[in-house]
Formats: sequence, C-alpha cells, structure tokens
Amino acid sequence: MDLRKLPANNLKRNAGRTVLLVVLVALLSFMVFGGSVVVTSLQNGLSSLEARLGADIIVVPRTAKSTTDLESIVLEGTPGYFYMDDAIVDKVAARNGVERVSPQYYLATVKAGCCSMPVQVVGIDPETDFSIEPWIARSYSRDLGIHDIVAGCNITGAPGSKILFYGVECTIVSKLDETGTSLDNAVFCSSDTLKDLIRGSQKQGISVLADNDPDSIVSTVQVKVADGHNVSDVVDDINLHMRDVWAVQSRAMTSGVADSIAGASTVIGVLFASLWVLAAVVLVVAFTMMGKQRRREFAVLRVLGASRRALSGVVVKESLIVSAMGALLGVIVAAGAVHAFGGTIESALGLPFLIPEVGQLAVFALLAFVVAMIAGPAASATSAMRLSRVDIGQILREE
Amino acid sequence: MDASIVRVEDVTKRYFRKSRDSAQNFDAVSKVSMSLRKGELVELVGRSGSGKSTLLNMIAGLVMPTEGSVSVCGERLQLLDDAGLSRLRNERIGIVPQGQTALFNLTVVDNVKLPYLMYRPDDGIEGRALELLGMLGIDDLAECYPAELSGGELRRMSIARALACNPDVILADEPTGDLDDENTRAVLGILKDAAASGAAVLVVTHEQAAAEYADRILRMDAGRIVEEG
Repeated sequence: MDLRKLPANNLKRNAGRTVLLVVLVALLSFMVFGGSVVVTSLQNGLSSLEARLGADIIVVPRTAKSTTDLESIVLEGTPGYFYMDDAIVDKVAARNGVERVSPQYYLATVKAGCCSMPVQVVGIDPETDFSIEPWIARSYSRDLGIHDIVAGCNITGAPGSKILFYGVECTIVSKLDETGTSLDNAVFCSSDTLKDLIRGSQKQGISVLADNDPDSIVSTVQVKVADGHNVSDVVDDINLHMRDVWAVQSRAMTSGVADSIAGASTVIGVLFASLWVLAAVVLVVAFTMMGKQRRREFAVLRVLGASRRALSGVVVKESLIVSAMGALLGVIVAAGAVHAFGGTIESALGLPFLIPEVGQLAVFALLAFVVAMIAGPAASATSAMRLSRVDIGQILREE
Repeated sequence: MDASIVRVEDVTKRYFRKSRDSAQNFDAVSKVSMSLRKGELVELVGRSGSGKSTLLNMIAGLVMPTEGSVSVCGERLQLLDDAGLSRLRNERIGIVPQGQTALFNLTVVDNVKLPYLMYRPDDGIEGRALELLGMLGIDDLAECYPAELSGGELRRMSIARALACNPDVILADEPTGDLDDENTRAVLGILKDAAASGAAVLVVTHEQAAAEYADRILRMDAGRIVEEG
C-alpha cells in the first residue's frame, strides 16, 4: 500500500461516505446536464416552430378566433378543425398587399387504424402551397399524389405502408423529422386526398360538415405579403373589410408560444441554476467537512513524511474518482430521464420540446462532467492544503 | 568532531494566547539549546505544559521555531521547503506521535509499510514490517484493521511504523502511555536497541522505568531545560 493506492483504498473502506458523495456529485451533474437539455429542448422547439412559418399572415374563420386551441391547431398540429367557404381564398388574394395565398385544410380523425391517438390531418394545395411543402421537402421532395401522406415521426408505419382513415386507404410516402410538437402526431396530404377523407367521414356519418360539399371549404388561408407592404397594415385591411374571417400575423401567433417558452425557459433555467448552485454548495461543504473530519488522518500522513503536495494529491485523487463516478451516474440518469419523460415534460408544459442533437448532448454531458470534476476536487484540495498548514502537533494532541 | 545528529540552538516557540481578560504572547519553548548524538537515548521529562511535545515537534519539523534553529542530520530545517522537509522527515526521522495515530483504512501491516513506500519501491518491506510487529508482539494482528486493536496494541503499531524506515533519529512522544509494565519495558527495550544500532532517540515520557534505559535525562519546566543529568 503506497500513496498512489491510498485514495482507492480509502474510498473502498468508507463505502457509506463514498456512496453519499457519489450521489451528491450525481445530483450536481444531473442538474447541469438535465437543466441544459430541458432549456435547450424548449428553445429548439420554438426554433423548429418558427422555421415552419412560411406565411406572414394566417386567415381563419372569425368563429375560430374564440377557439381555445387555435394557436396549437394552426401551428403545432394539435387535433382540431374549423372551416369556411373557399371563396374566401380569392377574396383574400384580392386584398391590397397580398402577394400569394394558399389554403389549408384540417381534419381530426377519431381513431385511425394505425394509431391509438387522434391524428390531425393537414391538407395542402400543392399548386399554391408555400408554407408546408418547403418543410416537407426536407423529407419528401416529390409531389404528393392522391392518397399519399407524409407522416409525423410518431405515426406508426414505415414509408410504403398503408394507413386507413375513414375507410380511405392511404400510403405513407415519407416520415418527417421530429419537431417536438403535436405535428409529430400529424399527417400531411394534398387537399384532394383530404377532401376524400372528409367524404369518407361523411359516409361513416361522423363528419361535422354533414352534407356540405368538401370541395367548397377551407380551414385557413396562408398569406404571403408582397415586398414593400407592411404586414400589420394588410392584417388590418383584411380584418376591416372581411367580416367573416380573422387575420393574424404568424409572428404574433408564435409570440405567445415564444413568450411561454421564454417564460418557461427562464423559470426552469432559474430553478435548475438554483438547484445547481445549491448542489455545488452542498458538494463543496461536504468535501470541506469531510476534509475537516479527516484532519487527524492528514496530520498523521504529514508526520509520516507526506508533503503538502502529496497530501493534496491523495485527496484530489479521491475526489476525482468520486466525481467521475458521480458525474457519469448523474449524466446517465439525466439522459435517461429526459429521454423517458421528454413527452411528459412537453405535455406538462404545453410547449414544443425538441431534444438536442447527439453532438449538443455530448457537449452538455461534457460540461456537466467538467463542472462536477472541478467542484469536488477543488474543494478537497483547498481543504487539504489549508489543513496541512495547521499546526500538526496541535491536531495530534486533539483526541 | 561533533557527533550530534540533532542540534537545537537557542530555540523559542512563541504562541499568541487569548484569555478571557487579556491577550498575550507566551513562549511554549524558550531559548532551548540541546543536541542528540548517534547511539544515545535521551529522556525528556517535565510536567504537562512544560514544552516537551513542542520541542519534539520542532525537532521533527512539524512546528517551526519562532527564534533559533534546528538541524537534523546536518540539514537546517528552516531552510528546507515543504517537499525537502517532508522527505527528510520520512527518510531520517521516525516519529511516534502523541495519542492515537493509526490510519484506520489500512491494515496494521499496511500502516507500518506506508511510510517506507512513500519514497521507496516495494523491495521486501513486508518482511521488515512483520519482523517489527513480531518484536512488539503484535505480528498476529498484522492483517487486522486498527479499529480491532486495543490502545496498547495501537501504540505498539505506531512504534513499529516509526522504525520501519530505519531512521537516524527517533522521536517518541509518550510511547508507553497506554502500555502495561511488561510492554512498557519491551518498547523501551526496542528503543534502546535502536539507539544501540546507531539511532539518536528522544523519548518524552512520564514513565519512571524509562530512566534506567536513558543515557541522559533532560528536565523541562516553563519552556526551558532546567536540568540535565
């Protein structure tokens, strides 16, 4: 047994103390890693949401204005629907400052053959669409044929497999990347496909449209404002002159979500930072107190000829072993928790939640590891150096 | 030629002490000069608080004098840095500290081996450690942990540890404090043998029996050596 083997031996012989310290370090790294991942996931969710907003203005039926989930239906693909006369599309297109318009269609299924949850079906007009297709094009670059659907990442079924909606068999032609929103549970198709689905629902007697012609309705009109025109002026113009619809700026719509995310990020960030600081303080106090408890042991090592540097080396090595074990445990548990409860966190917060890429996760894990590897050993080394300067004779006289 | 291996010259150790009514300096050791020669066992006696342990700790380099100088094996301790002083303490000085000083995470034999292995390779120290434990009558406890030993057994382990590196100087602070008469004599005999082998041994003790083993006796009172015989 020499000084190099002493740290591992000390940890082994004091298993209870070692486990306690490992848990404390794990808590610290859990806070650092978990907090970073949760806050970043929220911010990624917002970025993903904003990236899909190709339209400057979204026009919805005025009756939908009071719909509680309007924003989440329009932006996040939460199951829901509303309709208005398709003549609105041309009327909106005719307003001053409007460059392009494209209708969208929503249909919520009750339970599809593939899914255990309600699915939002979003229909787009391939001829005019400029907001959804560019996003879908990242996964599927060809035209959407009749009964072709592009599925959100959570929809069961690989590309090529069949899926049944209201008696209409559709083919999954592609699956989208994860968005961290309800869009992961939505499917996208052409307006013609969606109208077939509406007819299917009418045949089954479960359509809200009763006998209305699916060819004469739209859910929203996506508007692109021409260069040189002010978006809010166009919004005001539509709202003033078209009584049956309500126009809203896309950014204004996301600003609510953005505010919620910013608020949630701040609260969660502050919470995690507080817990992080608390865990770090507890860790430093624990290592310092442990050092003080071991002052006699350190004094004996000094008597036997250990230099201050060697003594610090023993203590730092112990701390490094404990910190490495704790940091690893904390990161693994946090990663598992975020992976397992990401959906629950998203549901609980009601905000888009997109877990970062592996590379970014690795950076956070490294950060958590480094923080944990610095806090404990630094506290221990400081404590050991301080104790090694105390009158050794005095320590040895203390019983 | 001076055969002194330890030279203490005009050494004072001053502490700042606060009492309820006042705060003042006091000299735990005051202008003490002494020396230890190879091969002699010197007994340091005196009442509690007379400065014996402080003097011993200054010779060990554990406490630095406020004034004066201490030299061990030709090295003036105040001139050494921490690494040099620690190495000198390990290689040249064997210390039996006051009180219980076992490392509780190590077995008895590992406690004895540790100082040797701090600066040297593991070249048969196990046998030497067991031999020392045998001389002190606790070789059967070699694989036990200190928590399983009595106070007297711990004291003997501490003495074995001090002898493990074949030191030139042995400083023992109350080495027989927890021992019965038989073991007291055994320990004093071992220290005497170490002196006979060429080490300089300084023993702080209240033990009357130590006098018959000592080559010299130094008596301290109020921080000063008041009698030498």
